[in-house]
Amino acid sequence: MSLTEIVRTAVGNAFRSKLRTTLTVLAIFVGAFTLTLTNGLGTGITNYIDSQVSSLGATDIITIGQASLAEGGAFGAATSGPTEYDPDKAVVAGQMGPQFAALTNADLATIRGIDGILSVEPLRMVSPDYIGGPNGKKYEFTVNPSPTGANVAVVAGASLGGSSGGGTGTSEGRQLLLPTAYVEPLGFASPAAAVGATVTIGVSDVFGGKHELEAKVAGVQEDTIFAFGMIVSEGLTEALYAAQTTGLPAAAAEIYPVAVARFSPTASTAQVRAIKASLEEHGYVGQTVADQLGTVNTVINGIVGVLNAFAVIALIAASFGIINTLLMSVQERTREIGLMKAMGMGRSRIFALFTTEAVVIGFLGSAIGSGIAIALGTVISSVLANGPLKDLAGLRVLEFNPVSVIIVILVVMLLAFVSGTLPAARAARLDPIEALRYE
Amino acid sequence: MSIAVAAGESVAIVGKSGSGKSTLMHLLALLDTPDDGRIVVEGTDARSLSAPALNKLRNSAFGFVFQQFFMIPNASVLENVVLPLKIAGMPRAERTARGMEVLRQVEMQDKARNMATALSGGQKQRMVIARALANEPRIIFADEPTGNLDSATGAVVEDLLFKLNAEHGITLVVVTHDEELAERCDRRVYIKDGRIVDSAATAVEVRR
Repeated sequence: MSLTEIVRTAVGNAFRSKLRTTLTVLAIFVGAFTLTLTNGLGTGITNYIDSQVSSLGATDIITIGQASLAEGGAFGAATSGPTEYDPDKAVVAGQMGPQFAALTNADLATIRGIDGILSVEPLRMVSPDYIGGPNGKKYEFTVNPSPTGANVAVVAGASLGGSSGGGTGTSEGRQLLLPTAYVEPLGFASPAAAVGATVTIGVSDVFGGKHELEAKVAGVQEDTIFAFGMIVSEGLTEALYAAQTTGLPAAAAEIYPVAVARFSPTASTAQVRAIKASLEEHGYVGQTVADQLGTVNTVINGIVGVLNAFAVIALIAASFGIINTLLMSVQERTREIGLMKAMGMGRSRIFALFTTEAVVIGFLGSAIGSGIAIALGTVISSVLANGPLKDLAGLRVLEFNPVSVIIVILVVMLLAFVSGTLPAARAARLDPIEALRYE
Repeated sequence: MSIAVAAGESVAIVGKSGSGKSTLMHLLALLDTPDDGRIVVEGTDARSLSAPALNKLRNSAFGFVFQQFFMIPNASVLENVVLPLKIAGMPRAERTARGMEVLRQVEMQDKARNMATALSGGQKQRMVIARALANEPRIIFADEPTGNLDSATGAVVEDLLFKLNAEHGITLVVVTHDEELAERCDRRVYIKDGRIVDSAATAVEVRR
């Protein structure tokens, strides 16, 4: 019997006892349905976090500070004990509140020399006073200090390209991404109307002098759970910093709390670890976006893992259903199996026939289960996205990745195959004479 | 015991139930292996054949007709008839053509699409004979082929079997306790308690 014939016969056999097969398929359906939904939940939330990462910062950057910063609490990775005072250390004084051990241009040069670092830019902390729109009203705001990736989610316009180039927008000139919340208060009718408009930004220097700058709205940013302030172009940051440090001597202006370095976007985890190690050797600490998000992802993966485990338990229960169904089927078809053996059908073919039947049942249950889970999940997440979760723009609670759906189906089919081996082996072992005599 | 069946011959194995006649047929059909002794098929000791070779031999050279029919329920007459061809791996189109041909031989071609279970007893047995014929066997083993049929339909089935024996030279091994059926065979072997107690040839056996 050829392989296609075995599959065709197995499909036919699976439907010979329609009710029994349907019930077994239903049991698998429940497991596959749950597994697809929990996977979809994992994918949806992970995708959301990933999209939020770009609002937090690009993935190919590392934030670098003096090692003593670690004890300062800003990086949270305390080593041990207080650090002794060192009067020679450059310190960012006054303007930013607490004192930071700062980086000087000499430090930047050292960092630039480290293997794997492509470029280093000092992080200019700017704290503008207000932003004003066409209606003349002024609102307080903060600037996102970290450079961002090119793919910040926008509801209108374009995101700003990273300083390393690429992206849809440009970092040239004085541009910013307006958070959705600022659109209406500033007097814009819609996010689209704000794109291309000019806003005014007020900033004070250390001596109390007031400066006003103009900037163009490049796009309107989606709301994000990591709302760390407005994303502005490098040109605007420089202009704001220049205004803020007006009158300061160069020595005071050219020290920075932290610097931002870029490494190759294709760098492996090991390479990133090597970069961090050499930074430590030179007395600096570096932290990537992945480090900052590591804990969040670990927690989410843990929750999804537990949910998946429940679905797998359901599938294991269902696989006993497959064993039961096929054992009954073998029992019922004992004489038929005997006849086929008498007619020269080999053991391996009989075995293949019954395991294929199990796989067919597994495939039906998992394909229908996944299909309905995808349909239902898509509806549920649209309803949630437009209802209770409206404030979290861009969040789709359930997202289905074709690869993981196919993996779910394949895993269920494999499970069904394994369940089918016991009844199939029993069928293959049947003695044709005994089987034909069976009443 | 020792028994030899020549090609083209029709042999009846006669005995009461429990006499061992079915076991003898199973041995001859290579469905069973003897505890002792040898079965030689066309000069080859059956024991020297591997399981796949045995399966292939049974599939290509043997046809089976059983008293209880043994058909696949919920399948059409044609599907039942082509089962040995399907096992042999014959492509579908070829299989269907051959299936229709053998159904014509047993005058069942108009029932090809009917469900097997919906047939009458005589029709079922004719279908089973068609199934036994499908792979163009050289020998047909018939275990009480008329046991479940009334005498009129039984006679039709008998005629069919002997016609195949006479016209196509298919060797016939019939297990029966029906003396009339046994009388029609070239040779009769009487079995009692697992031993041959008598064997007789009919006068017509002049051809060999």
